[in-house]
Amino acid sequence: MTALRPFTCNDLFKFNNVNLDPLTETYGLSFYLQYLAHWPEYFQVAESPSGEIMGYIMGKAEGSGEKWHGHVTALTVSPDYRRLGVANTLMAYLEEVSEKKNAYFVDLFVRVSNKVAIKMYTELGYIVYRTVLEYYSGDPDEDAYDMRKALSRDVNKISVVPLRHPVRPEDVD
Amino acid sequence: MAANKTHVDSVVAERRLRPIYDWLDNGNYKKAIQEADKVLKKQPDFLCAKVLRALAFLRNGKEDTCDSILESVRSEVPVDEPTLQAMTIAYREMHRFQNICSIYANAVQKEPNSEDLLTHLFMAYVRVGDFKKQQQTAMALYKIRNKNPYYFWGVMSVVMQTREVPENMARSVVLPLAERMVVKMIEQGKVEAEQEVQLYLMILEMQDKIKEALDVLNGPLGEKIVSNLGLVHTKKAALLARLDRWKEAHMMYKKLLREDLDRWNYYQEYFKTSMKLWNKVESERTSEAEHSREQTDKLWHIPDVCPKEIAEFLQLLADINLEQGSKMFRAPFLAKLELFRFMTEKELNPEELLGDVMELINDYFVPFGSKPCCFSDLQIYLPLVPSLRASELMNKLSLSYDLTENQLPENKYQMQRHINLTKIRRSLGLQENLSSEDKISLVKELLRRYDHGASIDQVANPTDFPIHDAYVLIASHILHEMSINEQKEDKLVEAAAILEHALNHSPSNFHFKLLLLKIYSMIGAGNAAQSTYELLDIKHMQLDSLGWLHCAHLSSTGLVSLASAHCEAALKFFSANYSDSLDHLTYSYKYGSFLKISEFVEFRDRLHNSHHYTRCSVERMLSELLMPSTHEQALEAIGRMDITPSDDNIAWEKLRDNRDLDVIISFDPKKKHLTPEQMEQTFLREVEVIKLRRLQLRCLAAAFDLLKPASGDANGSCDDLLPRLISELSVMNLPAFPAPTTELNYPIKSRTDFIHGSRHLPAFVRALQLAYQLSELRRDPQGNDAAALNSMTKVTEEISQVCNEAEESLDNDHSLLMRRSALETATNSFETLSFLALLCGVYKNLVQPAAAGPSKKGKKKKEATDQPQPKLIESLTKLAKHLNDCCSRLLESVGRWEARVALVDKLNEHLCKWSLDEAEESDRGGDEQNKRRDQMVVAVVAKLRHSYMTSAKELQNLLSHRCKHFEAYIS
Repeated sequence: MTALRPFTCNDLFKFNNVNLDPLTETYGLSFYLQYLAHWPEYFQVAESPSGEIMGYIMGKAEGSGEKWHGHVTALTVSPDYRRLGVANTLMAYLEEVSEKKNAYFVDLFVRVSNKVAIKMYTELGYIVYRTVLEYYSGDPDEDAYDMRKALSRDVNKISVVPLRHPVRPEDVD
Repeated sequence: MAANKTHVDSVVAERRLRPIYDWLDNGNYKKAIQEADKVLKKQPDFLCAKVLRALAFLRNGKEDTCDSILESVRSEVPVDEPTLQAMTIAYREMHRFQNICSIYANAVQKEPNSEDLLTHLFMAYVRVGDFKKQQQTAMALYKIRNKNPYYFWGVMSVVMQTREVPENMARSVVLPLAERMVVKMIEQGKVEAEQEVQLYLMILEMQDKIKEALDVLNGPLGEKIVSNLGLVHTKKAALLARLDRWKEAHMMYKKLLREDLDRWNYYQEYFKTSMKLWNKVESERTSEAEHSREQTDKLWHIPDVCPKEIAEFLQLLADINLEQGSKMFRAPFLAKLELFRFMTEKELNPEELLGDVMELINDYFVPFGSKPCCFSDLQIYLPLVPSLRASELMNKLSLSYDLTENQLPENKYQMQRHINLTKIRRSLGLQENLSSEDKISLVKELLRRYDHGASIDQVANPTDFPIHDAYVLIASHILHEMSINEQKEDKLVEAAAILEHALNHSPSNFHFKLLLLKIYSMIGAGNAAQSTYELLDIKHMQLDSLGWLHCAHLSSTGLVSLASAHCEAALKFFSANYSDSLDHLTYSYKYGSFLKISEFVEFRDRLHNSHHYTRCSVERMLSELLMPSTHEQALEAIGRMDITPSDDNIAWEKLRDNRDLDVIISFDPKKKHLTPEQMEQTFLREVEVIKLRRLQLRCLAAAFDLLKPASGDANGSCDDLLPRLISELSVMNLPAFPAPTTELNYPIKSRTDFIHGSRHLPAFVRALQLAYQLSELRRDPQGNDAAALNSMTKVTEEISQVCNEAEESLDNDHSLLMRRSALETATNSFETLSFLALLCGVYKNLVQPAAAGPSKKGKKKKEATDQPQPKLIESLTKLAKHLNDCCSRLLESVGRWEARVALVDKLNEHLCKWSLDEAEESDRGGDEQNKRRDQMVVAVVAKLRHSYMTSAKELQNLLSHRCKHFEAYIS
């Protein structure tokens, strides 16, 4: 049970119960504000009945021609509100916006070690389109799965034919 | 041919500049300057190279050199992109945004048809907020390139002008102009983008032309709004509401609820619109409509205008929901509670329609009691339960928990249900009035369940918090509460021990870290707090919203340089934000997100006016003043700060409270949560403390200004500045610090809270007066020195008191809470002594202006014109000697304190005992668990000891430096 609404600047002051979780990165201000300026419709927050932030999604639309697609940049749910379908609601929202924008597919990157997230995305209909080598820097660097789900405009599901070979981050467009 | 030549030129130029850019990027500014010199030797009129050279100087700390180079380049009016861009970077770094406007404005004059230059000029005006010039530039752009975005930049620039004119002017002139501009485009069929329609709607709404806005939404332009899902619906409904067309709005939400039973904001709007219809529609109601309610599917098409009808509609939703079986939604259950709550507020006898509130809660709890969200869903409705019936509710809810009260759960679902029951019990206030013994046994029971929970909660997902963590949270809340209510500090140590232990097993759980941070701050363990703070990885935005948790308390424990580093990190964030936020405004224009522009402006101001920002900048400067140990260093430090003592320079009334005061999770009864009034009170108090500190800073700066030769055009006001500031300081009256509560988010006092009303201020004020009196005597050497001599006596008396109190506090701290105040008193005394040491330098130089060169034996090198003032000099030496004595006495007592803290003293011994293990433990493993907890307590006590010793070491170090500082004024 959620209330979805657009993320606003003031939410940055009160998203701590989500962002204090070590697995949610707190980015510099510019990152959030850039998304708010460019893709405000793709930045949504899920609120509990008591007005607490349960989670949020940040995304964008990019690419040209048949690569015009929605992208999930960040999806996070507070540890206190997990397993309630909040993430599904947020993902469904982003997919619908992308449908309205006539995108061909939605994609996202996920750490290959993040089994929980991969399972969730698979259940939502995403497939591993390709592996991106050493996408996440760290010690050691970690590969990412580029996961995709075709939208209705991609009638023949061309966008979700998996690539057989992994790619390097610099080759990702 | 010519074009080709320019191309070749620019490639060559680019190649020559590349190494300079590289050095700049790598931070090697000297090399960048050398490289630029090389390029300029070959090509002396290469403007971009000149600018890059200037930029390198700037980054190397030579702003003046940079400035003069830029001035010379500016006069040549460059028009090429690289030069202008480089100049923009340099001006940005100097925060001179107006100059960026002027270089582009000049360039545009030279090349009025350049789209690029005009665009840059437009963005430059956006950065400085010159809306009129923005408008002109946007229209000039549209004139040369017929692109829609340019036109709408112009429209938005007009809209922004409403911020600067009076309301009536905005409505009668500015907004109609903006509207006409858009209408013109509509009439020509030129409106293309969604954002353009949104801007039009915004203009109409600002003029309260709601009907017109609604028509736009319902017309062909409305179809352009596609990307904001639901926006059209909610927007329409909101507009209908503003037109008082509540019925239509209401019906829209009913329709939306039919599509999505679980969307809570639809319920909220449904309620809101229904209540509006309450009295209005009743009279219009025909008996026919009343009649038709009997068929349920008609319920969708008829507005609900009284509680009875709302209840019927909610029942319809509930019935549909029940058909979903195990996929049931929570919202339809909570909607009934929401109606109950509303009717209770209006004293409308909700029981009659909805039955017993306990039944409603139970209806929700039976299917959802094993969900982690259960408590936060119910929390706001629990106050509806009369306190006399709280136990009855617990009994009722427990029926759905198929175990007896003492039985341990067998699976995660049972455990989650039990945890929710425990949280509800706490929230109903059933734990707060327990006896001390009962609370202890409750804590023990919770810990038993925590230990047992580990065996059944094999977390599948390592990124989630283990369910049974909740037991430790509640247990530590109880211990925290006991420690405050009963002044039992051992409970704090025990809470810290179980939290540290649980954190080992669940290292991501930030609830544990936040509580630990609070506990360590309460007992003055700054170093321990610091290591917990680091685990929270607080950065960027959080430096503002969560800075209050730690920043203010660090320096309370003598960790002055660490505190200063924290302030500096926060300051970096704030000042970077200011220039970054200007760029975000430019993005908003670029991407046409006009609705965000006002939001961004307000956000920038909110951050810029954060009271934490002001606090950090004041505290940082004050802590800088604790560092010098010679007069020369002090002069340098004061000079660096660039304070104008006559200018307060802070818009106090604009300061904003950005603290996140909900961050620590609490299951306490609603009445115990921080109220908005309490938040406001603590905020206002903090602002007053910052004012006091800022005034202290200005006083010190004004005292140092006494040393400056009176400038020729000295205005009279400057002379009595210090006395004016002193009297301001003396009459400052701070509101009382609100009484402490057990509320977990309640901000604890910091050391600066104790300065007002203590001996520190009188000592400081006397010392400042002395500086002023000495400056008077310098102006009039024949004047009477009695007042100055008297002040010296007073300073001596006051500072003795200050140090006596500190000594007493250090020698007599027999509890942890007192340990914090001992450290605070010692730190404050060190600070006061340091300020006095700075003033000693002022005294000396007032009595005896330094000769040509700095000289340590200035005493004997008097200029012939100076009147000898042996009596004053002698007394000043005596004063310095006294201050030095006080300082060394304080140093000694900190030493004694350290020695005592280092030993396993009585307090340690008392604390190391785990008070909770006295009772017999029947279940197996209990002994082992207790042993482990014993060890955790010992570890926490050791951590505290280490922390106290770190504070003592730092204080000793600071104080011994201070002693040396004073010695310079004795000989």
